[in-house]
Formats: sequence, structure tokens, C-alpha cells
Amino acid sequence: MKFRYAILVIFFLMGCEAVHPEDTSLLVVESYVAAGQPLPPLTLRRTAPLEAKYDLDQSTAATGARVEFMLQGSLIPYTMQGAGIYAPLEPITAIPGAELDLRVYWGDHVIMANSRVPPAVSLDSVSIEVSDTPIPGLILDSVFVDPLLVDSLGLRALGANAREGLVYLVEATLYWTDNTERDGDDWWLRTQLLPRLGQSPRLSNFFLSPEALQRERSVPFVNAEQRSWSGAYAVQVPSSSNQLPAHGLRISIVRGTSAYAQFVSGSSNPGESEPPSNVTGALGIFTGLAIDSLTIEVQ
Amino acid sequence: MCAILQNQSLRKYCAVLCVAVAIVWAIPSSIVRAQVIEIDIVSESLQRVLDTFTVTQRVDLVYAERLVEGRIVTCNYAGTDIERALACILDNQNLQAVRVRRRQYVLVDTSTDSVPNSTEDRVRMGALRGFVTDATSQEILPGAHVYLPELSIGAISNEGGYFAMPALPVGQYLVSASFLGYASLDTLIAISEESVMLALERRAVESETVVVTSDRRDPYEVSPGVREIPVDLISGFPGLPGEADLLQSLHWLPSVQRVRTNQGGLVVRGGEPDQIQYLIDGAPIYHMWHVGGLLSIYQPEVFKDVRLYRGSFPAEYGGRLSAVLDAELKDGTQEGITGLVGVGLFSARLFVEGPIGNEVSFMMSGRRSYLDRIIGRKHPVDDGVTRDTLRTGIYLYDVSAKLAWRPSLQHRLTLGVYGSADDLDIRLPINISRIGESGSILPLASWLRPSSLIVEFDTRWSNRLASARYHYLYADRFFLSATAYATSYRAHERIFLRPVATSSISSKYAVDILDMGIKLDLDYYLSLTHHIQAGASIVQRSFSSELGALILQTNSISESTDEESRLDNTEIVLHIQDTWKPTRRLQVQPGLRISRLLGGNDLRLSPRLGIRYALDRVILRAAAGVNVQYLHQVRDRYSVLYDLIAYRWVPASRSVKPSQSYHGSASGDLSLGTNLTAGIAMYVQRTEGLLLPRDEEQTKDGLRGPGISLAAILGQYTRGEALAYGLEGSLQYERGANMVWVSYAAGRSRSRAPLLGEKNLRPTRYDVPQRLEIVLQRNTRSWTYGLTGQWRSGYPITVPEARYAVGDPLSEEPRGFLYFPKINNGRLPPYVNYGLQGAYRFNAGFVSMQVSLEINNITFRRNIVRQTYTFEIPEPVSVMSTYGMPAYPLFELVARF
Repeated sequence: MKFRYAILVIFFLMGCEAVHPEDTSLLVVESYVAAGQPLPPLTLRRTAPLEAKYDLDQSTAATGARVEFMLQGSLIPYTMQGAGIYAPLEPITAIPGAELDLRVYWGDHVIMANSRVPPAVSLDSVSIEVSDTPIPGLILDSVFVDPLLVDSLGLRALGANAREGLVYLVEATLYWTDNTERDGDDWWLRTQLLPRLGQSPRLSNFFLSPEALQRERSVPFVNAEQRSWSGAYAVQVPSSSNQLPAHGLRISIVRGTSAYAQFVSGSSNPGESEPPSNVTGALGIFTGLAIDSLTIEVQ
Repeated sequence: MCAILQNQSLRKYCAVLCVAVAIVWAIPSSIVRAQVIEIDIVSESLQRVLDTFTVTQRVDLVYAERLVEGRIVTCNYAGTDIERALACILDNQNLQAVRVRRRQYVLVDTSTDSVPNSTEDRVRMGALRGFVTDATSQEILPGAHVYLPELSIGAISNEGGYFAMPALPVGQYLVSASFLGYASLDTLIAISEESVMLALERRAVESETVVVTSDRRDPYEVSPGVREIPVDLISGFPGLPGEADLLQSLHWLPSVQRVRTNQGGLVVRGGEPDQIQYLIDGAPIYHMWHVGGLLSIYQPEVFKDVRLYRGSFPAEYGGRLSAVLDAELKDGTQEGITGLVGVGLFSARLFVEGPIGNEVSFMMSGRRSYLDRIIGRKHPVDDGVTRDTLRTGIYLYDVSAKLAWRPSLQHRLTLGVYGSADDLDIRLPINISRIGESGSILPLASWLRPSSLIVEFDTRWSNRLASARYHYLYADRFFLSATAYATSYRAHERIFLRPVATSSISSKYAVDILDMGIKLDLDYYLSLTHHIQAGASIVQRSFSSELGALILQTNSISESTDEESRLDNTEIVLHIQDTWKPTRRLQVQPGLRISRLLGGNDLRLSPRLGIRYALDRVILRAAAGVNVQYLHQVRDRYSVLYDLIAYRWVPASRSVKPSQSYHGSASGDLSLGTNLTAGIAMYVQRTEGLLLPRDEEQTKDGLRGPGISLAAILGQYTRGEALAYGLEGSLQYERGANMVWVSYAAGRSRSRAPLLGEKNLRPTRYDVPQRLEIVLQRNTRSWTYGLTGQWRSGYPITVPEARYAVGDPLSEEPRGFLYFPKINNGRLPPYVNYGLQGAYRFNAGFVSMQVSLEINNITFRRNIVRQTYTFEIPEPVSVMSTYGMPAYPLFELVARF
């Protein structure tokens, strides 16, 4: 009889999903050490439950941590200077090629990360081209039919809210000097066109790719020293008689590590997975990078 | 044998298996120890003496009562030899006890035989052999059971419908033949030189559509792990398409689960969809589903025999890890031209079969959807400025045909072809969202208009199969089968998209698979207790794919891709298996399958062992085996431009190891009276060498992917291992016109990728801990009506456990993220679906009509099929649910002539 009960218990337990709630309060690290710039502050936050609000203040700050920051083998003292903000006492410049090493002690947690500062990057020149007249373009998504929604007869999956409109195409080409030849590391390059517009045609921009992430050595040279990248974005207008609205455009270029590239590419679906972290024992990112950007007025 | 294995775990497994086999061989001799027999009788009744002898010596002695009636014997014997003891009892009686197998004898009358010189040849021996056929159509019936109740000896007809029981004393025997869906045949057969034909009548109960599944009188069921599919029964159960569909119906079996993928699929015992091998007339099929899994390519009326082998296959099967579905096309009836016409919600179908002379028969069938015939395929549009031709070409079809030539009992040649395809040819304005503008649900007219923003999909896939099979009865004990086949799967996807008037994206992607194989199988009926099956096969597989894409962002910014990939492999297989019946209750089936890739050095041994023990009302089975799979199904997980419908297969090679599984199962079938049967099974399977996605949650969300090279695809996967175990139960009750079918499955399926640092197994995407399905049905001559219920645990989902924010040098504000520490750590709510079905049958002239109506989800339950998370800093995270289909009716009209 006992055996029979044991079978029943096993049978029952097979149907149970053992999910044990865990202490979700993890440390989140954020620090981007830019080449040629003073060492940035290190931000330490805590994770929070899903049902709670997440304010970027004292409620989520990780306080009382001990930070050991090594720059090219030298210990740089960091102290807390705000809610979860830790910064060096004196401004110290991150030289290109410097090795970075981080240790943080927070309660029982010990987290570690390391990285390297890439060679500095700067935009040598930028050219902008704008289409003469507005052209038809898709304003919102109606193409990506979600099969799950179709299965459920969710007719909105067929593209409710989709709308055709008129757009100007703005094309920008960036030129920069590749000075990484002697470095030997495999650097990644992130380029971005960020128009300051009230509305942005999402789907059109998905295809136009105003942003790119690629290995720098895979970007073609335009001459012996310079590489270039071109991107485009759409600016929506109400009618064909409208001129291109004047707007600001920030053009950025970032040279980063593979950890940074993984972090960026892994950030595309924040509702499905978190970006890969290069920090042992914590979430977030600690990396060296080189950055340059400029903002222009397009009209 | 084990020493030549390179893999240490395999070597260990082999050693264990060898020991197990040795124990099994040793059991009878160790249990049955020689004991002293003392007989001292004077003028006793022979019948009484034999009755006492069989009880005290635990031997089976089969004889006709007329042989022993009224005989008086005298015997004095002391010793340990049963045969000498029997000889003493039968001395001077013109009777002889002929040994059939261990501790089993047949009493034969030697007075009618010529007296031979040798003592051993005093009784003439013969073989009971022949074919099992359908009495009406004269189709051969593979897998039929032929049973001699007096001897408790049986045989199963092979794929040529042939059976043989050699080394039987010549005489008359009561023979019982049975086959799923047919009435048992009991007849008296005298052993002679000729083959016998056992013609079985289809067993029609009240309804024409429902046939009883099996006859429990015969304990000689097929091998452990095999499930004969009661095609007629389960295809009468409701299914999503509302049309008869074999694969859709399989989910009513406890070990089979229907899963949602963009290609459709089944999983067996916690495996993956690509771990099932689908065979039609001995040839593999790569794509089984239409319309993303809405219905399968299997029409039930086309097949005469369908078997599902789960986990532990007979040695002749292999190449997949979890199951083999072996289906054989009908040969065509010899009775006369008959057929069927069916019209359903999606498609219409036709089936015809009949004779061509006395020796040849044919079968032809076809099914085609008709949506494109209703809405049209091409639509010229003109708004006075722009002219265009829009397209709405959507259709699917299946065709099959078979020609069977049987010039004599010794020869049978069949030629079968099968083809199926889906075609989606669409050119429409991108914005088709004007739903409701014209006041109708589907405002087709509003879609069909000229537009500068266009989307085009031209996707098509097709299966083609040709198979030739030759069955040759070389001698009474030798039966040869030869199969040659060619099967292909082709898919192409063409996409053109113009989201902005001066920007466009076009891609062309094609996948081609071609398999050509030859297979030779031999059945050798060594003795009553040993049936040897051996064979060899060679298959050449070619896999090629092409990708061309042009992304034109502006007039000056463009990007193009042009890639090709080709992979080949040749697999050679040898197999041997013995079906050994040492006692009337016990059957042992050891087997070995040896496979190797040409040009590789990876020889794989796949030992199998099946044991069956039959009691009066219970049949117990146990099986263990190793399976090897030389193909991995993969797809690009990044790009929306290709790999949308066409999964790619990567063949094993020097750089890609095959996956391998170790399977064990135990089961029991219980017959509780004539109306109730129940079954229970347990299984465990460990798999290694799987390809698991590196990022399980990665979805296609970008234009560009890594490409189609082998390295690019394999870079998205990592090697992993899996463990599946579970318990299954089924129950079938039939009384008169009423039928109850219950199937229950409890099990777990877990996997892990050690190279990604995963230490613990986590649920696979199809892990369903519990599943219960019930069918209540009443069948009268004119009506079938019933109620169905499905309940199962929800599918695993990955649930976040926390939230956080991280800044970015190119963002002004930190961005919010969710923290997903574990894959598949949560589960959707249980899925519940109740359905109603009704069918009315009537005759209209010479045509039998049936009108069917099914309504699914009659409780309007909103089953959650997906959960997503939305959040903006600083607001709390909210969960968005996507729901399954509401109540929906399905109908079908079938005419049989």
C-alpha cells in the first residue's frame, strides 16, 4: 500500500514545476571609460522586483560599496559621491590602450570586470544628402504579421495602425581615420544617426538602418587611411508641398570592445532577454570605448 | 564486440547490454533445473497419465483428444530426460511427442506416416506459411498476427504480408489470424507444401468509420516500443482542420504531442520535432505539414498500414532519436473501382482505387485547397495613374499513386509516387489594414489597389517521392525485400519589399534536399523459435542552399549578399535482429544496427533489446536501445529575409557529430474483459550531441543574418544533452455503439548546454508535465456524435525575475531591461479545449454520403498561447497575453462510391 502511495506522490510531483523564488537583488554596474576622457563615474544600482517602480534614485542605488579601480596597473581611489555614483577623487585621463580592472565589494558580493581602452576615434567629415521631394513611405509597421496573433484571429496583426505617408530621405556619410592598425585588437564600430524629431516612421527606419554595429575591419576603406559608413533615415511630412522640417541630427561613432558589441546587440529585445554582461557576479557593463559625435542642423 | 567501440560511455553501455543478453539467455536453463522423473504405471489411461505428466513436469503437450481417447499405457521410467519419459509413455501407441521448443511438445500420430529409418525423422515436419490479405481488396496486410492457439505460437506477417512457422509436425492446426481493424479469422489448416492465403474481412461495427482497434486474443503483439496506429479510429476523432488528417489525429495517443512551430510538428516522448523519421513506402519525407502546420500531408484513406515506433525501434529502423512513423500506401483493391470525394473547409480531395486485370491494381489520390479559386490568383488594378497586377495565389496540394503487380505468390512489385506542395504567391500593397473601412471583415477590394509600397512573397515548398519495392519469396524460409527510392524536398522563398518608394529589399533563398537510397531486407525463418531479419542499406544525401539578397536603402546605399552552400553525406547501414521465442510466454528480440558515414571514421553501433512476456490478460514489455541521428535541423535565428519556412538540415560529418540517444522503456497492456483494454508505459531517454540554440530567446529581428555557410549556422548553436522520462496510460472502453477513449501522459523533458556553463537541466520548449485527452463517442448506423476534451500543462516560458536599468553612451537616459536568469523557468496556464462533433451518413443512389460538423472550444475558453512584457522606466512591468482561437466550427462532406 505504501508503494502505491509513493507512486501517487511521484506521479503528482512530476506535474509540479519547481520554481524557487530567488533573491533578485543583484548589483548592476555601468561604466564606459572613454579614450582621452577623464575617468567616468561608476554607477552601481540594484535590481528591483517586476511589480515595483524603478526610480533612478536612492531606492535603487547600491550604496556602501568598496570600489577598486585599476588603470594600467595603478589603483585609482573611487568614493561614493552620490546615490550609487562612485567617482575618482581626482580627474585622471584614460589613455588609449590602457588596461582596466575593476573590483567591487558590496555586502557579500564581490564583482569583477576588466577591459581595455581602444584607440581614440574622431569623425573626420560628414556629408548629408536630402531627397528633393517627399516620397511615399510606410509610417508604421504592417508587414511583420505575428503568426501567433493570426492564429488567434487577432486581426490587428494584419496591420491596424499601419499608414502610408510621405517622407524625406536623409542620407549621411561618415568618414573617420582608422588608427587601429598597430593595436592588434579586433575593435567593433557602432555608428548612429539620431534625428531630433517629434515623430519617426518606425518601419521605414527599420529598413533604412540609421544605425549599424559591425567589426571595424569589415568596413570598407575609402582611401588609404579613412573608412566610411553611410546610413539613412526618413522624416515624415504631411503633404508633398511640405519642405523638409528643420531638425537637429546627432551623428555618433563609437569604437568599442567585443563585450560592448555584445551588450549593444543583445539589447534589442529587452522584453525577452537581458544583454550579455561582461561583469562577473553582476549585471551591466564595464568597458573601455572611444566616442565622437557631432550635432548638426538639417534643413 | 564492445572493445572496438571508441566512445567510452557507449562501450560501457554495450557491456551492460551484453551482460543483460547473457542473463536472458541463461534464465531458462538456470530456472529449469533437471529433476528426476519417476514413472511406474501399469495399464493406466493415457489421457490421465499425460495430464499428470504435464502438470508435474511443467511441460506443454499439445494433442487432439481423439489421439489419446481410450488408450491404455504401461511405462516404467526413472531418469531426468523428459523426451525419454514421454517416449516410454507413448511406447507402442503409434504416437510420438515432437519437441516444438523448450518444454513444449506436440503429440502426432505416426501410424499414417511412412516409417523412416532414422529415429529423429520418424515424424514428418513442415511449415505453416503464407500471406495475410484483405478479403475484399486482396491487399496484403503487413503486421497481421497469425497464431496457433493450441501451441501458443504465433508469427507476424512481414512487409510483404508473408509469415512462416517452420519445423512444425505435419498435421492440422487451428489457426487464428487477426489484424487491426479486421475481424479475426479462425480456421483449421493442414500443413502442406503450398502457401496458404488468410483473407481477413474488414470489421465494421455499427458505424462505417469506426473500427475496433485490436483483438486481445492474440498475445503475440508486435515488438516492444511499437504502436500500431488505429488509423480508422483516431482519424474519426475531431481535429483542427475538420478534415481527415492522420498526423493531426496522432495527438490522441498518449506518447504523441502536437506542438506549435512555424512548420507544424509532432513530438514523441519529450523529443524534438526533427527526431521523428517519417517514411512513406520506405522512403523518408522531410516536410510533413501544410500551411505552417494547419494540416498534414497524410490523408488516412491513402494508407493501408501506419506504424509508430517509439524510442526502441526494431533494428531495421534508425536514423532518428525518438520515433519512426512508417506508412505504406495502399496497393489498390482488386474488387472493382471504388473511391471517395471529400469537400472540407480548406480543401477538396479525391481517392480512387481499382484493378487493372487480375494481377495489377492501382491507387490514385489527390487533394487541393480551393481558396485561390474563390478569390482568384491575379488581379489587374488600375487607378488611372498606375497599373499593376496584384497576386493572391495561395494553394496546397497532395498527390499520390501506386501501381502493384503481383504475377504470382512469389513476386510482388510496387511503384509508388507521392508529391505535396504549398504555394504562397502574394503581391499586395504593404498596408492592407483598412479593415472595417468597407464595412466587411475582409475588405479584399480595399486591398487590391495600386500602391508604390509593395510587399511580395513567393514561397513554395514541395516533396517528391518515388519508391519501387520488390518482394520475393525465394524459399519457404527466405523472403527478400528490395527498395529503391528517391525523395526530394525543395523550398524557395522570394521576398520583395518596398517600404519607401526609393528603398527596396529583395531576397531569394532556396533549400534543396535529395536522398537516393537502396535497401535490401531479408527474412529468414530459422525455426519456430527464431526469426532472423537482416538487411543493408545505403543512402546518398545532398543538401544545398542558396541565398541572394539586395538591400537598397537609398539610391546610393545598398548591400548585397550572394552565397551558396552544399553538403553531402553517404550513410551505410547493416542491421540484424533475431526474434526469439524460447517459451510460449517469452519473446526476446536482440538486434544490432551498424552505421557509418562514407569517408568518416565514426562507426556507430546501435544495439537494441526487446523483451515481451505474455500472461493470460497482461502483456509485459521492456526494451532498451541506442539510436543515432545523422541529421540536425537548424535555421538562421536572426534574419527576417530568409529561413522563414525552409528549415535547413545539416548532415553529420567530420566536423558535425551525430546525436545519439539511449532509450529504455517498460510497458504493460491489460485486457479487462471483452470491452475494456488499458495500457501503461514508462520510458526514459538520454540524448547527447544535440544542437541547442546558443540564445534560446533569440528571435528573428534584423535584416541581415550571419549567412548560410555551415560555420555561420553552427555558430548560432552549441552542443547539448537532454533527458526525457515519463509515464503514459491509455484506456479504451467499447460497448455496443458507445466508445470511450482516454489517454494520459506525465513526463518531463529537460536539456542543457554544458559549453554555455549550464550545470542543471532545464525544461525544453515542449516540456509538458501532464496531458489528458478524452473522447466520448456514440456510433449508430447513421450517426456519429461525441464530445472531446483536451487538458494539458502550459508550455514552458522564460519569465523575468527582476528589472534594472543601464545607461548607454549614445542614450540620454538609462534604458530598462528585464533579468532572465533561467531559461524556461515558468509556464503558461493550462490549455483546455472541449469539442463537439457530429456526423450523419446517408445513401444517395450508389453513393454513401457523410456530413460532418465539429465545433472546437465550445466553452469559449481564452487559452493563453504567449506572454510578453512591457515596461517603461519607472513604471511597473506589465504582462501582455496573446490568446488562442475562440470557438470555431469545421465541416466536411464526404461521398464514397
